[in-house]
Amino acid sequence: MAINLNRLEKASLIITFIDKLKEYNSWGGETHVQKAMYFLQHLTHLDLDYSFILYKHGPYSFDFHDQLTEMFSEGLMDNEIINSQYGPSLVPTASGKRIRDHFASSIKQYHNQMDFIANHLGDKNVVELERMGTALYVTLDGCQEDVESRAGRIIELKPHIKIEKARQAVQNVDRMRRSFEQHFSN
Amino acid sequence: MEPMLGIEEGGLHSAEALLLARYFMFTQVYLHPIRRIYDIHLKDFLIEWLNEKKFFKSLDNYLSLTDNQILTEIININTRSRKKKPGSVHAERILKRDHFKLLYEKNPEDGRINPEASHKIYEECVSQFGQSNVRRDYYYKGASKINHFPVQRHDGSIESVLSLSKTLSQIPPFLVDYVFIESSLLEKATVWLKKCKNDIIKLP
Repeated sequence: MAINLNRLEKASLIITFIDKLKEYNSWGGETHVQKAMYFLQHLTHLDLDYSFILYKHGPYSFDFHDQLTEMFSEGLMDNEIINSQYGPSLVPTASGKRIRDHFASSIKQYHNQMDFIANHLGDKNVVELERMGTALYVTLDGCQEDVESRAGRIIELKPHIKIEKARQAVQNVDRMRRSFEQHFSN
Repeated sequence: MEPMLGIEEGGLHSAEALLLARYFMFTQVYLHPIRRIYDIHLKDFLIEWLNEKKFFKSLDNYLSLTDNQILTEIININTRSRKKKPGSVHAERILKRDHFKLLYEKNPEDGRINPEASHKIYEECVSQFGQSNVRRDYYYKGASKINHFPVQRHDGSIESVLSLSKTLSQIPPFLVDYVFIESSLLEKATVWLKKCKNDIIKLP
């Protein structure tokens, strides 16, 4: 069931989530944030009602992309070029920070989940995130089989991924899921 | 990294000129409020005039429908005897140039208070003056994807155009957020909005 947040509360949550990812050394580009949002929704069950499909670089949500686009249009976020060799990083503007702080109490209850994901994914680059995102996707897509079968499924979907990396990604995702269940079931 | 289309450094100024010209075309022509409100009036007319508020299901019938036919219908619908035909109100607006007037447009100051300022003002306008007398036009096209392309420098190295061109990194996205009101209500609505705007747009 989707959690009940209005548009600006959702924007506050997204900005807070991006802040947390960066605290854990994430580049914070749209690809990073997309994959992290997929984990936030589908691993920690924080249902923000974004629908994800398996796209060019793993799970991707056009709804979420539209939300980010709206936030740009409303002056809540901007792009920052940190290194010209790579894509831009998403940064909140002064207005974005104001909205983040104004609705902070509405989203406080979700901080632990955001922190968990940021902690586990913050330092991952887009290549690792693509592998892990696809691993979570095949796991949740009814493919509850052993590591080897799921790794095989990943390389069927993404032939450029090597089998040992796919295996590693599945194991990392399983570890994350177990860790989440342990920490949050109490 | 995926292959991307880029330019050589020698073409940078031409690229800037092209993208600036595109920006001006959008802001001064395509997104001009008068052009936008006539689009809305035309859509309103078509919705009422077309059967079931949709274009024909048959491809042949759809292709046979031309601008000339619609303009003729707009002109003919505005005779006294046909005044009550579906779409006549909107046809009259188009023919007599009695378009809805711009009451409010998004601005950075109000946006800083509430990013949803236009939306809130639109809702309150509808509540105050009636749905049939108010229209909102929202359009956004982000510039960032178009403006972020690689440039091959004279020494062969590749850099993002956004780090080489201050001009292109400053081009804002195309955005309009207009609230229009029926022309006879403009004066009253302007006074009302001036009085109530701050209360309408403050954050909950």
